[in-house]
Amino acid sequence: MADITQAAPVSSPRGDETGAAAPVARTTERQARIQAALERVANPERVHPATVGSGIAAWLLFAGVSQFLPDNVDLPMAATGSIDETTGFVVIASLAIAVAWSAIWVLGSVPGAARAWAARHLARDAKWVLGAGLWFVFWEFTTAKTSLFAPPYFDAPQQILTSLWEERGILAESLGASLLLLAVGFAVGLLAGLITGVTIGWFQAANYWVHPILIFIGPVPSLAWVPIVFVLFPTTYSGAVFMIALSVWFPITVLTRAGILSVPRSYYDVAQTLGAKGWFLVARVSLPAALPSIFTGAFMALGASFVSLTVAENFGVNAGLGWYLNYMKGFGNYPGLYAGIIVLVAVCGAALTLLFRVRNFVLRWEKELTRW
Amino acid sequence: MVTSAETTGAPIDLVGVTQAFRSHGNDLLVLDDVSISAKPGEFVALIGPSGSGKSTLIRLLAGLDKPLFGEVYVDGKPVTGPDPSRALVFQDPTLLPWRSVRQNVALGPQARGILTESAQRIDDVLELVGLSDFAEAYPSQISGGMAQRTALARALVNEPSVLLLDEPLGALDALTRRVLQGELARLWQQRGFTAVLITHDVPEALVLADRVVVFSPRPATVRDVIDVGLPRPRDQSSPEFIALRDRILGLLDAEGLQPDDWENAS
Repeated sequence: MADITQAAPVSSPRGDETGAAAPVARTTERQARIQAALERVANPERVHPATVGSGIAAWLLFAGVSQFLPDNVDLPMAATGSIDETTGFVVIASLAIAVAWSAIWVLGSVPGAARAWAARHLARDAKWVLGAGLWFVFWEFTTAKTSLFAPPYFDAPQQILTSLWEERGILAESLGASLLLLAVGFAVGLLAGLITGVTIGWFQAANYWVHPILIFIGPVPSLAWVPIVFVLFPTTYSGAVFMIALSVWFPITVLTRAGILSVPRSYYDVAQTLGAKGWFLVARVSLPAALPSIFTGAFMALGASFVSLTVAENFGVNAGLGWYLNYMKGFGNYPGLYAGIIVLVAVCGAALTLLFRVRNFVLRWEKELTRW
Repeated sequence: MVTSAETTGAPIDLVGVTQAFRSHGNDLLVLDDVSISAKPGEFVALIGPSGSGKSTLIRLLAGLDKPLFGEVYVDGKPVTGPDPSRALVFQDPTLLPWRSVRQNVALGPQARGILTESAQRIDDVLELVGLSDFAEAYPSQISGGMAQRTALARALVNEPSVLLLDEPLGALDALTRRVLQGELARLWQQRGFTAVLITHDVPEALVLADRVVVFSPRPATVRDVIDVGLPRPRDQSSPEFIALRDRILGLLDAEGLQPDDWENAS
């Protein structure tokens, strides 16, 4: 655990300045060499100027195509002229991306505090920046400019952007409703799943009764509960919470139980010989040991909860992103539909990323932790 | 250095202990009428062939299992369950991987609700086993020898009157093993606990123990008890040491008994 980069001899206790200066200089030089070598080993990725340059070119091309190629006259927005405003925004945004990417390229090439940060992104993100730029050029060209892919089912970036802006009020409202319902349902299901999993993992008598029920009730898709849930529950909202919680409860319970049953017996032996009893064994030995398994359950639960959320919003709760999508479809408003899907994609991605972050922090003790 | 008052070792008495298991329909007699005792502060080593029930015996002493027949007394009282005064160290360090070295050592005090008052004692015992610099490391980050020192510290922080050692050095390399043998001897002399050591290594038993108990193969009975009686620290090349070593090896050889290799160790 010795930190070689700090292994430099400190100061000469005898105040022998001239004698101490030479070895210190040699040590720092050696440290610099070791650090440089380590840097090469730790960051084998290289910056490829051709890829970075093509990325900038692709975004400039997107701006150029949007601005200078004439729009297809059949485009609904072209007639009203509203596409011109949005096109301006698209051009500015793509130019901003090209400028930002160029700035990162410059930062990564000149010595400075941000060089390592910039170099890492240049090496890692270059292909994505290029790929995304090319995709937008293709998308813009085939929809807005040529109508190779025609509306209403295929829409230009400008149309979707316009919808995102026009529907911002209802989208924000739907987003808030969805997030709240998801959070409440997930929290209830997580808590219930942990309690059930620990109980049946610890008590054979509880396992005898609950495990068969779990095996049969758990896998039933949430859509099948819709006719019953919204009749039995006092409010549609509590029914929706129940549906999401049920779909979260099942994987959490199964994997909490599995995690607790697979805790090595020796952990309990050790803890018991040290004076641990009852609740301490559950909270300080069983649960932490079962956490990797519980997180696997949480990932499954998150996926299931998105399904239940959209189902519940479509069939009972008249709010949220799931309801919004159906509502837009009813009007045949495909740009609005795409706008809703973009928001939903962002929500799912953000929720999953958050869960990964939490997991990587909580399980930081794991030796060969798989990172996503 | 630890300045805490020396704990006095507790006497151990096993009286006619018989233990058997039923697994896959087979009844297996493991310990057959075994009687062993240890004086307060004595160091006893148990040596015998693989599967001869040595680990079973130490689990009975720890209070993790109950014997079929017979009585286990520690400090004059019958053993009814696990207790921090009887600390156990396994061959596998069995550290809890989500806890740092320090938190693993703190497990006993925390379980007994005396974590805050034990802070100094935990630091002392970490220093005693030479792990102060690694207190915040996770078990996955330290070597096998360090992990076993942590396990030892985790047992010693409770100031046990009996230390039960189930092949604690069995999985370590020869060099680390020698170093830790020396440390065990030093800790035992310093702390004064009663020690029961299971080992497959005849010289290790002779370096550490006052008495060596030789077991027969399963069902285990006591084959012989050898008083070592050599001055400490023990010189492994002295003629007396070699004579005792050959005598024990002879006992194990006599009936085709080999000290087990650790692949088969249970």
